[in-house]
Amino acid sequence: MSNNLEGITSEVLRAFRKYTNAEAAWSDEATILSAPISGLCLDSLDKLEAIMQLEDAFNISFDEGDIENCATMTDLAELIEKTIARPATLQ
Amino acid sequence: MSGMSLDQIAGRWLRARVSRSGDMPAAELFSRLWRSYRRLEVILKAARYVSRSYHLPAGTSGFYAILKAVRARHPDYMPALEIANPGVLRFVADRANDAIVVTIHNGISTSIMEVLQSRGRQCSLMTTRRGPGDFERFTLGNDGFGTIHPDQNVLLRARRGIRSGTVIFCHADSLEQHPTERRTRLRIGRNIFEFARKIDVRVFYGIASVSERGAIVVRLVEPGYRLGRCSASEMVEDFVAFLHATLGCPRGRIVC
Repeated sequence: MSNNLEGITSEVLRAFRKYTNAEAAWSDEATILSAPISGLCLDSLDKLEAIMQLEDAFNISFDEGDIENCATMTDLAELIEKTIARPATLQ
Repeated sequence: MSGMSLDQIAGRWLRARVSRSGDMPAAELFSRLWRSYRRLEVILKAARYVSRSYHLPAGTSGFYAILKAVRARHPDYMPALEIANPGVLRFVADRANDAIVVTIHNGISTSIMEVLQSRGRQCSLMTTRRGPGDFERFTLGNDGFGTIHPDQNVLLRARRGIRSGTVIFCHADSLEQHPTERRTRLRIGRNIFEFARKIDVRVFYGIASVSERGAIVVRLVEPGYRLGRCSASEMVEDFVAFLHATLGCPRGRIVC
């Protein structure tokens, strides 16, 4: 798994796709990446699991407030990129 | 009395009893009215189960009516408070680093949070509804706890609370119509138990009820299972069994 933005974005898509059934929505990755996460058919447990999967994948720990500020999966991928770049003591 | 609802009849009866109470101390008056109510409870409950959506088989149905009637004469009256198993409550208040308390909606369930808060432990309630509750809530006067409102991020917020040492309370029940009988029943959801397993947080069961003598009884219990060794479904079943045993309600009144 690559830690550049492209690799991170793929991992974000994989994590969230697992919890949604709307296959049609995933046919256009650009659209789904910029679509509001709140519009995906995810309940709170699905979202938590997707976030924890990403934390495990990148060995990071999110601040939950930062996640709430991520409206789209692109925002989330950028947050992961920033978090990885941050010194470990600040995470 | 023709044309009066059961609530109106009960209200008139309560006012009459209070007006005849003379110099009777508030605690004794409350206790007597409560005992009378318990004798009539079968009839009152039967009516309320059909007509009121958020009254539970927890013996709290007449609590507010009696409290209001007593406070009309003794404005500062506060029912007695009993802690059913103080050791567990002390543990959660003082030593549990992370804890979720699973409970059910009733008018006095937040008393448990108030007791913990009075002992210096911050609590937050995960609510299942967005607006202010549509049922009355009793307060011991220490109800400054946080609330976590329901949306896609509710469990993330709960995780943040747990990480910061807040005890998270969750109402795990929802009310549904019984499929074949003319009454409602409680359904216990499993999401909160899944959540507890996921983040490996200690689970406690919490119930507040009203005793035979009219005291508010706060009960915190730690289940016997090991978190990592049972499924969320088993945890829900255990909680349902706990509720049936603690509340003394007939089997099938609470389902999972």
